[in-house]
Amino acid sequence: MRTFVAVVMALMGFSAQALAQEKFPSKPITILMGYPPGGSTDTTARAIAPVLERILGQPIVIQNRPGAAALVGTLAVANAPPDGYTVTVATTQLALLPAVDRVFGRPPSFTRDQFAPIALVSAEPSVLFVNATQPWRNFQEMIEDARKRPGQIVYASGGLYGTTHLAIEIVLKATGTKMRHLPTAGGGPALTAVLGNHAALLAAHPAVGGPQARAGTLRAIGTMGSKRAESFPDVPTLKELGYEAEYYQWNGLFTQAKVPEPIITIWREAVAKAVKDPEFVQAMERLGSGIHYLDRDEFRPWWDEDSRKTEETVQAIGKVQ
Amino acid sequence: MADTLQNLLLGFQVVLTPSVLIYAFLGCLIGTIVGVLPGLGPLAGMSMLLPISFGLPPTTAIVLLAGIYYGAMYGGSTTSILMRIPGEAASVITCIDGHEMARQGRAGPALAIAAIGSFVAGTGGVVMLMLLAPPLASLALAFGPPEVFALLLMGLLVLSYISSGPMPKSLTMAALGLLLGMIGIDPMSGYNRFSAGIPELADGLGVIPLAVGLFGVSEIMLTFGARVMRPMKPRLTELVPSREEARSSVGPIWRGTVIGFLIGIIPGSAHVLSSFVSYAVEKRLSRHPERFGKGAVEGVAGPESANNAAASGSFVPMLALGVPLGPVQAILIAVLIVLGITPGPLLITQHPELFWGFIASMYVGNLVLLILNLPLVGLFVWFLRIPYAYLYPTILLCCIVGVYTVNSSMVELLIMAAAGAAGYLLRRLQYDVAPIVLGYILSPMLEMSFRQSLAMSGGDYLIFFHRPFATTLLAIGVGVLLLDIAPSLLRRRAHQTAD
Repeated sequence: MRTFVAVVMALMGFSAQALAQEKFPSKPITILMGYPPGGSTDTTARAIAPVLERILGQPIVIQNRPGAAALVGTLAVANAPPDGYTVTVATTQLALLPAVDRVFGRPPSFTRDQFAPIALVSAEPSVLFVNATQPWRNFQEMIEDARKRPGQIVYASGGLYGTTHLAIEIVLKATGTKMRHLPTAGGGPALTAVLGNHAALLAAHPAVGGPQARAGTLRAIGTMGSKRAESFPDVPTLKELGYEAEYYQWNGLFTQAKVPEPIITIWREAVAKAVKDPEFVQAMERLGSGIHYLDRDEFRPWWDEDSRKTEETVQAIGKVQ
Repeated sequence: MADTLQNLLLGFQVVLTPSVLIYAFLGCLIGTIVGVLPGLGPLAGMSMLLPISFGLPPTTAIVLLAGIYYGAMYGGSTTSILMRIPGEAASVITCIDGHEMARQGRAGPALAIAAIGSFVAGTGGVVMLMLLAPPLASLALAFGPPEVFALLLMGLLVLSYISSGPMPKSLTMAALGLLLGMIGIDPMSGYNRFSAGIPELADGLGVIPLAVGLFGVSEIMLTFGARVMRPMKPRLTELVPSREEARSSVGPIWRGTVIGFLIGIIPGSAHVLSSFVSYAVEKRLSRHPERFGKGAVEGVAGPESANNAAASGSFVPMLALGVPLGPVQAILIAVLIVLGITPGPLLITQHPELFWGFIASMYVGNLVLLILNLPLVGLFVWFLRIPYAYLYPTILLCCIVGVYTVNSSMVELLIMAAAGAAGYLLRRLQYDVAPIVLGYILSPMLEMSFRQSLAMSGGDYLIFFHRPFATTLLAIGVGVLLLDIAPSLLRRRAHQTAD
């Protein structure tokens, strides 16, 4: 009987799909990404891939398709067949790019609801770093100075509308101050600009400015988490100082919204196992971000809140010149 | 100095173990291969091997990945010389005289000189890196947007002054390159410019499809229907550079080394610029500038040395400050972090075995590359014996596969094809296409640094004159411009008084 059904289905052209649904995964998986090799999204994917490979029993190929602030790769993920064989490690770009499209009055290239979250893997609070030769010893002094000379202090970012840009804009909005924006071509160049004192401050992932802060060339003056950052236990959060300015640098695993629920469940279970794997835990520790794991059900509201903040901030920045 | 020697000894102890040596060799080999394949650059090779390196001891991992990087710098010249296809962007200028040498049957010497020049420059670059990294790194930081803008502007002016071809033609091509560089997202406002709604164009045309099209594809098109002179079949004795060729390469190699290293350490500057500057300098210094473009060995020796020295120079800010200047350094830093080492200002003191192991591995790597590449010269030259009917379709296939692999993008293939057609037309009209590539590469940097400077000053143009470095560089540029115009102005005045 089974053979008969299989033959009929094969004749009807169903076989591949039906078999695939019977046992997932049965062929190699692709992690397709909008970001270039070397960044935190990429290294997170490369750290988790070998562990997931072991758990799912299928080879995982990592493909970077960077371009247009991750639009090219993100579009490719959105348009890939929704069979669970294409997943992505993504971050704020899912909310950010459509929001930027709205600012420019263009139809969005994709929307956030084309993606289904699987799990949040890491989230670190943005940390405010200032050049050590700047006179401010803490966050309050900097804000007082910014109030005295609005639009005079220069901050660097890794690019227009990027997370490092949005983080500072959130701070400026919360404190009611104004500064000058120096966009650069990425996290590295932004760091260089602050080290060379061409800009006074930047907001970055703790691992980006950490070594410089320990060497005394940068000073951390505030973190943007709900509690203090593990790597900067002595640096107050902006919340402690009385400002509502939370913003994270995070990476999560996503697939397409149309992927069938049973396959998403397989992915969720695999990631739940992977985040406990010592190999992955160690790799993430070394990446300086640790693991901040949220399963789909908790991740979704968290992601909605982060997206709301992102969209709001992009809207507030609006068009530049 | 004694300290340095002792440290270097420590470095060699780290590197001269069989397992590290094997990985150094492997890295150099892979690097040479990705360098030879057009389109596939060091970045692609390094990111493919990234997961493997996570499981290796730190020094071994860095030696492997760094080997790929400078291996690619070596390999890039091979296709430039043999087929006039730049293996990677830094070898664009080598196409001109290198391929001309190959057509005259001197492919062997050209390849050998490129390999030797790369070796000398690589090693010289490492020596400078070793001795000067900490002081140079802080100098590099002093280069903010206004300084970078002044430097690039001066570079363009000096380049146009010292290049002795028909100025209007090369300036027109450079301007065309600058215009092509405007396509894509405006980094300061986020507007899409001239990209016709194609997402792939948002990042611009891409230097690889442009260069491979302008040089490689146009070359193949030029041979269609034309009676091509076959390169002379090289004999083994002709693989070795003649005394004459060796002698005239010494100066360019040393000058290229210094030029390349200095340009390499500046953040936000283009390494490709180093090979163009070196070429222009050699042409200016030469007693026979008319030989350039017709197979001058100096036009291969200088630029090939310069791009390798620039590769060493670009490690200065990474090792001394933990700051990545480009994607290649970003990958190396990511690997170090994954391996539990935080690159930063304290790297040299906290992990001397890594820093000095890295330095020592670069000495070893350069030697490995020389040993690897010199015998390959003979092999590569044999390719030229393949009849054109088979060789050229194969080259075209290489171009297509190479360009496609970088971003798996169909659009980039179309860009390559269009650039090929444009290159064919321009070369038929006796225009040199190299300045297009230079203009294209400099365009976004020039624009970005200019507008960044104004963002810093709140729109005040005087920022370029409030900063001593920037002012000096601009003054040099203006001086060069005056030098160029002065003789003709004086002549005109003399003419008028005579009347």
